[in-house]
Amino acid sequence: MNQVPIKLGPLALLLSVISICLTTLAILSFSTARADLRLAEKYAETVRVRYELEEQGQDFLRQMTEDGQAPGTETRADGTVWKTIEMDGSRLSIGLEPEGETYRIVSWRQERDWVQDTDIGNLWAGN
Amino acid sequence: MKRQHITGFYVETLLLIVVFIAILLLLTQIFGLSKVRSGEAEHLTNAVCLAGNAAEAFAASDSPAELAAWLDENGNAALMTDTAGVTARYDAQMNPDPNGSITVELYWLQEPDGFVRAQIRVLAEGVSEPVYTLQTASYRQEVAG
Repeated sequence: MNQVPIKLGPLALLLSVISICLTTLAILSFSTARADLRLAEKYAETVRVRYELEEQGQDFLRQMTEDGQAPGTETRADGTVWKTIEMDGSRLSIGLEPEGETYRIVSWRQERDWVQDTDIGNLWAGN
Repeated sequence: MKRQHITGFYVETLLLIVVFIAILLLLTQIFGLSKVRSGEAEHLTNAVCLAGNAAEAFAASDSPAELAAWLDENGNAALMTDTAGVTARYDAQMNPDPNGSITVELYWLQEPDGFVRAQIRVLAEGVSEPVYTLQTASYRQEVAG
């Protein structure tokens, strides 16, 4: 009686393909999760800076109302007082107009300069 | 001769299975780590949103009681008993829930001249360190005047 020999070649090939596919999925999954976390941390830092700027701006408003002056201000020809507070690439520009003994807020603007990210990591530049 | 052939086959099969199981174990760890990282990202993002909401409600409130009224939905917010401040609880999906696992604490630090500082902490159940902290302030001219 002839016996059909069992060969491990096709099975090994199948397991290798499965392993390669799973490894690719695992790497993609991990890199996506890590990028998500980094983005979340960046967002958290941006929000923290935004509210710290708000706190400093409110403190400036208090100084102006109580003392009528604060360091780092600029008074323009129309009488408005301006101050710019900067922190970690973000800045808050405040404009106050005297109104009796207090001030009226004419501008309260938070800005952040956008810097293009030109770093492409280890990607081949094509030359 | 035939016996040797069969033994070789078994050894080879065993080796193949062992290597495959080792690869699967390693990949399971990587998938598990990805899930942990992804969960951390989700928790942090939710915490930042809740802290931002609390900060905005603080800016619109004149007193801790008014702030509690702003944040309260389904009885999830309450005034602190030992100090000036408000606590609000949410579930993992950020829905107001009096028995939720996420707690937002807002400490109302009143200064004599109408200036109020707010310290916001977002805590998760079972974690001693706050997930996120935020500090802001508000100056009320009419209060000062």
